[in-house]
Amino acid sequence: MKTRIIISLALLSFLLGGCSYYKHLEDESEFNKSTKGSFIRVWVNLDENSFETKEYHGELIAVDSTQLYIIAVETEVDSVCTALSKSNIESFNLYYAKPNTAFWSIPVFTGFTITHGVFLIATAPLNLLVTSLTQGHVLRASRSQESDLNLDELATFARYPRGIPAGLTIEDIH
Amino acid sequence: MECENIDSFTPQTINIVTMRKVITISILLLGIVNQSCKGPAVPRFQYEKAGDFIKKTNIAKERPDLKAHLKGGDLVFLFNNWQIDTVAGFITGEGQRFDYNRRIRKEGDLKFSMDSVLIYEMNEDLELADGMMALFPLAIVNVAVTLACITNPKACFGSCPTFYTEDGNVFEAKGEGFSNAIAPSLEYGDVDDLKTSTRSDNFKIIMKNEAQETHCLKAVELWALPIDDDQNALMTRDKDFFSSSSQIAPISAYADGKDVLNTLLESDRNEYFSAADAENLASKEELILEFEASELNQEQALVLDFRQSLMTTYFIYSAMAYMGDEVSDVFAKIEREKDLYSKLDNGLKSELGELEVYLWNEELKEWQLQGALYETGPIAVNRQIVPLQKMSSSQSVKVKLLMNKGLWRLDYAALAKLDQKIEPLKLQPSQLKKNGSAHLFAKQQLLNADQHLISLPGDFFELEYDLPDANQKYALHLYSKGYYMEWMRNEWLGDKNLLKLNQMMNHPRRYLKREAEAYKEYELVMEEVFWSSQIESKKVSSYEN
Repeated sequence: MKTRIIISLALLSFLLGGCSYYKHLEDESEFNKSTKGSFIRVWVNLDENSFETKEYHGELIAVDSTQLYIIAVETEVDSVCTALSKSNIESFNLYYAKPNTAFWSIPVFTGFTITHGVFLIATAPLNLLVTSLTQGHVLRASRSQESDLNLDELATFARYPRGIPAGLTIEDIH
Repeated sequence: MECENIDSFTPQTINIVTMRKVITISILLLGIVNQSCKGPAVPRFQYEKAGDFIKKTNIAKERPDLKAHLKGGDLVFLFNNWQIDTVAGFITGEGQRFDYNRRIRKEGDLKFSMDSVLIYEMNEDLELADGMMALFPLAIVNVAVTLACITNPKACFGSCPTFYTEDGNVFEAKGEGFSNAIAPSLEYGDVDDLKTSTRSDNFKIIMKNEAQETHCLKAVELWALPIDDDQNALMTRDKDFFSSSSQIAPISAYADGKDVLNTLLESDRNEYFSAADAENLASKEELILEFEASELNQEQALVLDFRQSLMTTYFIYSAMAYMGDEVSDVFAKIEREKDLYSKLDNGLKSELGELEVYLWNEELKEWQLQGALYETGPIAVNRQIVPLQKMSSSQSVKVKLLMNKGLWRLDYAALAKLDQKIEPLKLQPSQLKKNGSAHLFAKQQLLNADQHLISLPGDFFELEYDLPDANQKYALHLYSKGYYMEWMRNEWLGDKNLLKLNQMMNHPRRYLKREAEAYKEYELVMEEVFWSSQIESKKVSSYEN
């Protein structure tokens, strides 16, 4: 029971953790006009002997043959571009736009079944399952990960699709 | 025990453990879906050659905006009025030019050389999955059920005392208490087979009031039947108990020509039930069971796990609604004139009939009535036996069940060998907790034969019983005695119809024909949604038309 609760909480925090980045994402309708790279979360393993990974996230700047460049979006103009070795990248999530999730529907729909009286015993779990599945799907369908794209294909969604422009250094990029 | 009502399935009733499981499963599914499905198809196209870009834009439905990634890192965004002059080697249009850090350098009419372009980019509208669109069908189902409950609140709300036992981690509704006792003068005692045995020094039962009712309990006793390791205890309708060491499953079961055997082999809530007749709610059906011949000349009985559909609930609450604001007058009259309730209860019951059990007599070539079962209530599954005549030949045993269509749900049928008659130890609760705290006063009320324990909506009681011998195996039954008073609902007052009440009481045959259409509408919505969409494992029922 304890394990189940821990797994559930871990999954929930993982999912909600993803939500904290929504503020950096543009609306779906702005995707056409976006001039910057897409928002990306990258998990890097810096120690071959360990399973521990470190997360980097921010705007995807460029991808070249050996490295992937991202720039943190939280620190605004002072952000520095970080180069990550592609060989150390374990996984990534690439977000194109703010997902059209409606997480509120999980408690609202499930709670609404209180009006179903006796049938709540069937409709409450049904609503909980369907809304959870739907929102899980919507969340997943708003981003790509390593099973959808390889690292080179990420370049299409970088600020500089053909790599860091000649004459620029990563220190120049904000 | 009997129960006309079904309020045990209010929010408080929903099995907490099951709901926890569903929540955990939901979170896990949410996580799995979140990780396992595919990402979106993103409509972004990039070309190094202007010709390829132009070709692509020519086949696009609408002329797209142009994003030109320049060699130095700048980006030019042109609205869809852009022009590419491949002869002169220039691109013109209205838009914005950004530097490599995406600060605007220039806006308005722009012109730049094709040689400076590294990549031409075109985007189409991104269409991500919409979390609300997918929920519309569910919203429609929810609203439909809500409307059905508003239209016919008595079908969704209202009930009687429910008893739960703890099997491992799961509490299951094992009994429904004295639901035919809807007035003080109708008080009676009833026994439920808990279908549980124990070998311990105590046993706990949870009793809940989850309805808008006042429950008045005179007794809640645990009846413990000492049995051997390989035995069960079985009960007849007349509360005679038998130990039984073997049961055999039917080899065939047909209802109106359909094979329904798989629904009757296990006590697993995979039930046989039929829909009511659309023309006449009193129509009957037959279910024929066949068993291989067992040992001859032994005492044997048909074992049946059964409960009712929501049909009787519908009638009881219809009756109360027909009484409208005169419900208290009618109930006062019931207290004074017992035959009034008999009319109300027996009128319909005589038309709907009981669950009759017949045995095929091969010598006389006829079905012979062996007995009948009747327990009101759609929640807890009753297990009772009907002793059968001794068979004198080695032929197979054929049993016929004659019952009202759409009224009964059958979960399990078997032929049991009856070993011997046994007597139960009748145990009073040694400890009583009310709403989580020990409650001596409530215990005293329950133990005092002259008093009633009062249980109000939301109350729950934990009753502990001490068993005399922890080394003895006991099969457990529950005896409860009392009555309850249904609270009238505002929603019911609008349905007052004394003429219909009169028809129900005095002309039940006509009533059952005329009410068929209304009931079928209710049955379609409620029965199907409720019984076929159950998520809880092992609760899927078959539905035969």
